[in-house]
Amino acid sequence: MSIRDRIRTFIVDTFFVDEFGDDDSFLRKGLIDSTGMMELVAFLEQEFGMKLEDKELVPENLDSLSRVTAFVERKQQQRLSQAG
Amino acid sequence: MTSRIPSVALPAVLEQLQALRKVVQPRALRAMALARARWLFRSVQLRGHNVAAYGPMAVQNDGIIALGDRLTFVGGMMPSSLVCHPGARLTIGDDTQFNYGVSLEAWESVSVGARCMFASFVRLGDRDGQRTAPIVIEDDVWVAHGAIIMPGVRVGARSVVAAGSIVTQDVPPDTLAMGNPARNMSLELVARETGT
Repeated sequence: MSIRDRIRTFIVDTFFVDEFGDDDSFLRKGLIDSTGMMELVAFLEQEFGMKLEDKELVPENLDSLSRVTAFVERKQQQRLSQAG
Repeated sequence: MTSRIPSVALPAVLEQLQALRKVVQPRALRAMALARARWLFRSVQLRGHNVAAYGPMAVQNDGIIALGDRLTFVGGMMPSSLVCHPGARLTIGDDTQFNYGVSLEAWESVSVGARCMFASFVRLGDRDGQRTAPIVIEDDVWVAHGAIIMPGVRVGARSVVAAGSIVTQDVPPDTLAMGNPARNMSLELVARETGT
């Protein structure tokens, strides 16, 4: 399953929302509240084995499915380049 | 034969009494709260105008306490407590509001900014088993129910501390701190303008 699909499955299963597009804002659409955002962060850390810094918890990184996916991919790239 | 007692519509009188009570009661409560605050904070060195305590409180001042103007301490199922140990300083800014059961304890320095809101059972203490370090809460901070602010923490202006959080590290301005230990996330991520 792709990164996008894994994240989307988590959101659908956890927050009981299904009708949302990749670019819909979680906040403005009322899909995820603040506690939910904390759950999403915990999920990303566990599922993808990464550590999110506090300053990374901003809307540019986390406020839509496409942004979260891009953010996770970017983080993984960083980790690969650091390891290599 | 006609009755000599003029007929008075009882419900109407009751209604008027109710209306009168509605107007008078809050003012009476307010006056009592102001008087109570004068008494409770009699040991406080610097006390602003219109400080109101709507319920019982425990105040122990062996250091220096400075209270701003227009503070409100709400009464409820537990008295709030202000404790300032010898040589310590406890400062609270203007227009800050406290719900019941709040506990502020200063061994060295606890400073709260203006226009803050403290929900019930919030605990601020600048000493734990390990260390003593000053706590600073900047302006317009909202601390929700049952949160604990640990020694040495600075909470930035306009930030929010979520209910039940244990705040162990500094919180930047415009940030939501949540969890145990609290993590910081941008308020822009989780809070929208009202009505949108």
